[in-house]
Amino acid sequence: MNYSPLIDQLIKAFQRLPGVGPKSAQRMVLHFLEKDRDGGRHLAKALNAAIEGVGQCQRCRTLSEDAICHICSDPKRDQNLLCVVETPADVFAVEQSSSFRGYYFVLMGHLSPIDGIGPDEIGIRDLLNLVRQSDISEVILATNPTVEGEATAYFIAEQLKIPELDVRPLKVSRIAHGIPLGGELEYIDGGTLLHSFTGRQLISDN
Amino acid sequence: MVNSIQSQPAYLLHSRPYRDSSLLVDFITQDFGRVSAVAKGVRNPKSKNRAVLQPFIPLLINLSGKNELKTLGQFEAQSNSVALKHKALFSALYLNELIVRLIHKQEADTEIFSLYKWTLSELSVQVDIEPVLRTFELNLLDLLGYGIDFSVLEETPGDNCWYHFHHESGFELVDGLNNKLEKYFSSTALHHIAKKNFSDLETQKAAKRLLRAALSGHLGEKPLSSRSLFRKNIG
Repeated sequence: MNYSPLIDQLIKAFQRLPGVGPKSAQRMVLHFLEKDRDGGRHLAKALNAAIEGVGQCQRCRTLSEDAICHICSDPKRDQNLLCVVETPADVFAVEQSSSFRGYYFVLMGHLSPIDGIGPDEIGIRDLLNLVRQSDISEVILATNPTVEGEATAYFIAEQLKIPELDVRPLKVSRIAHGIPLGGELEYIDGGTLLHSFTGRQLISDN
Repeated sequence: MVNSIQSQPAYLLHSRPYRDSSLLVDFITQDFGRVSAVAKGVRNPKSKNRAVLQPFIPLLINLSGKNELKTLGQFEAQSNSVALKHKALFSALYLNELIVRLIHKQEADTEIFSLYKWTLSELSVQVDIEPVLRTFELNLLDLLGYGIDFSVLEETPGDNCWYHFHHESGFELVDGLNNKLEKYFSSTALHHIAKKNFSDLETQKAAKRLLRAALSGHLGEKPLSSRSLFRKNIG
């Protein structure tokens, strides 16, 4: 069955969302048109406001409608720590775990030569400037434990050895990777197991 | 190419997200050259095998499908990935970029696969990676039929003469006046390169320039972006 052009256009627009195929798009569109026109207006307004208003934080590059995002402008956070992550979703994940109280830097990707993504595309210069101009004493590299994420971490670690930074001590650390909580050794892949053994921690030294 | 391939030795060269939970993957296989496939459902949080689908891990893969784009079936790691860190890791990414750029899909060559495998293991153990990379580049060009012809050196008139190199026409004897230029090479360095003897630093530098010139002819305009990983102090 063919819908009228406006409806058809909206169904196609919904299909741009990840995980939404023609069937679900049609259901969403009909829901708004039949049952919840107010909700539809609200969605349209909110979507438009976000698309027009949200840019990138000038300091950490995460998505934000302010020039400096709410995390970067929070003076209560630990001025000494900077966590480097790949995406805004990673910032959200770390924030949710409440394990980290420092600042962030969002690369918006990782180094991937075959895709043509090099140091300039992931804002390495901005990161170096941020480290230079602030009181950061430790940079925590929290890129994903993929080959590209590892390469990105090594690359940043190399770049942070810049001579001007020698005036103060700067630690560069990498997040640990190993067995997930509740995991069973039997079902863990060899690579992860290997990492968990090389990165093991002493619990007693008698 | 047959419809179904079982337990084929392969390395993942590159992957990118496809639909919600799948990946488009690019392999170099032992018997079928470079193959692209869809890996269905591997980005699903419940997928246990995702960790194995990474570059530099020796895999055994099953592939099916009649078209150029195959479907990845079962896959498993033959062993753990080789331990690649820092420059060795950047170099390995460089190998992948070279292979993706230079080898056409389904251009079957068992020797290229062996060369790749050997180079990865060398990168993981050698401290000096430059000779490993130069050996890879020379051998890869040979295997692709673009090999550098060093035969002109047999008629070298004296000990210390100079050659200009062009990726199509090869070497040409020149007088030594312009020897500071990018594409000029001393016969001494070229003799070492032809024997893949990269023990002295001068030869290493010349070999890097020579292979860069030889490769650029086949890579086209677009620069290799993995080279930017080796840049120092970009800020």
